[in-house]
Amino acid sequence: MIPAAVRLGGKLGERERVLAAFLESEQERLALACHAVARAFSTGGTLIAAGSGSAASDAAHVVVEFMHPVIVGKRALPALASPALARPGDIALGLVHSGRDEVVEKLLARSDLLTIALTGPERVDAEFSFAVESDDRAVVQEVHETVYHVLWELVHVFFEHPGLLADACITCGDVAVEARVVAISNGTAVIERDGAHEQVAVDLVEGVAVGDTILCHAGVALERIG
Amino acid sequence: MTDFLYPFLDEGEADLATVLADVRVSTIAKGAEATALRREIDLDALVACGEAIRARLERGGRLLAFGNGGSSTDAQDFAHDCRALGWPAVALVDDVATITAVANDVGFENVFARQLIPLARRHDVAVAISTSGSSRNIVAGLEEAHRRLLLTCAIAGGDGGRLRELEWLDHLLVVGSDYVPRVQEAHATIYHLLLEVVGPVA
Repeated sequence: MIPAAVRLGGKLGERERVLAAFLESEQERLALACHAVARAFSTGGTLIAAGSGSAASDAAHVVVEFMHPVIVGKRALPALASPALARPGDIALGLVHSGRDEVVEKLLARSDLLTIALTGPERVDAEFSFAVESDDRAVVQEVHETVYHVLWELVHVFFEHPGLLADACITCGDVAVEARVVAISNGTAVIERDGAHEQVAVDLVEGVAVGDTILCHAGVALERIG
Repeated sequence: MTDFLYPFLDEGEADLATVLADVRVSTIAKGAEATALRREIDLDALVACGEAIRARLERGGRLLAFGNGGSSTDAQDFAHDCRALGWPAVALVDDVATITAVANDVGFENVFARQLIPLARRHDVAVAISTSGSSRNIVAGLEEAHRRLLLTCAIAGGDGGRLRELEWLDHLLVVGSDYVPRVQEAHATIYHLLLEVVGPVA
């Protein structure tokens, strides 16, 4: 019979593999999710954490993480483990260790929330859906715990760069838009439209100056209009 | 003159792509830190603790888990997973009415000890989870559990804090870091592995 400590060493090895593979493949989407969450907080959103069974305690953990930061000096951010209280513009974080959770699925199906799913191999649809590939739900829970800790830590990184929390992308629509240049630096202009700001590349338009009105699309200035 | 709007433009500091790249590197590093702390878990001590817990549960004992803040939710997860194996287990913070009543009337350092006075029975197991190892209500809870002859187990962080000084403590498992999020992630591994040792009801 294999000694217990050796068997547990194998369990540790599995945790190591699953966590490393998850972070390696999801690092980019995690970073984007953290940015989106920081932006939602900055526009008044509340984090709504949802989970049942063993994931109920994770939902509670997420809430205390944001409400009472362990690092002195980090601001408290609004969070509740009450799906019924989600309002448009809030952030919904659904946690499922195994099987299905109708409350989580219903919450994450809403189109007026920023939605994030943390699940085991059975993925739940969301704007940011993260599935942990392990049949051991203890391992799934541990990866989730790292993910929501990282989410909390990195949201605060974005709060240290308020310029990155400006509201929705101005030039990301289907058609080009007119905007006024308020600053220029190194081939990049800061444009303003309806009080919102964004950076655009001005390589395609010669002699752009502060005060100009330019036509922009997808982060690029296309033409000077006036 | 753009400093008030985009201070990083002139300094060549963080644009979104740079911060996103930093954040990605940081994420991988955090995962590596969690893994490094898990590798340091004393598996022989963990097996001894798990076997002692099982021996108590087999004699009819119950698992009583407690902690503060994030560790209170770890205690809930531990108790939930223990029940899933068929054993009686509860997290003391589940009883919010008693916790808030005791905290209001007597003081928060007394909450777990006060719960254990009427609840504790022969063969029960007390498991405290504390990232500092020094919370007064955690120490007081373990002292009460010891007085009532429960098996006393603690999962701590840092250098073990005040729990390290309790020479009567039956089992102490310490994750050697002061950084709370990573400590909690390794604590989750410890209580999950404890349940691997305890195993299901025969």
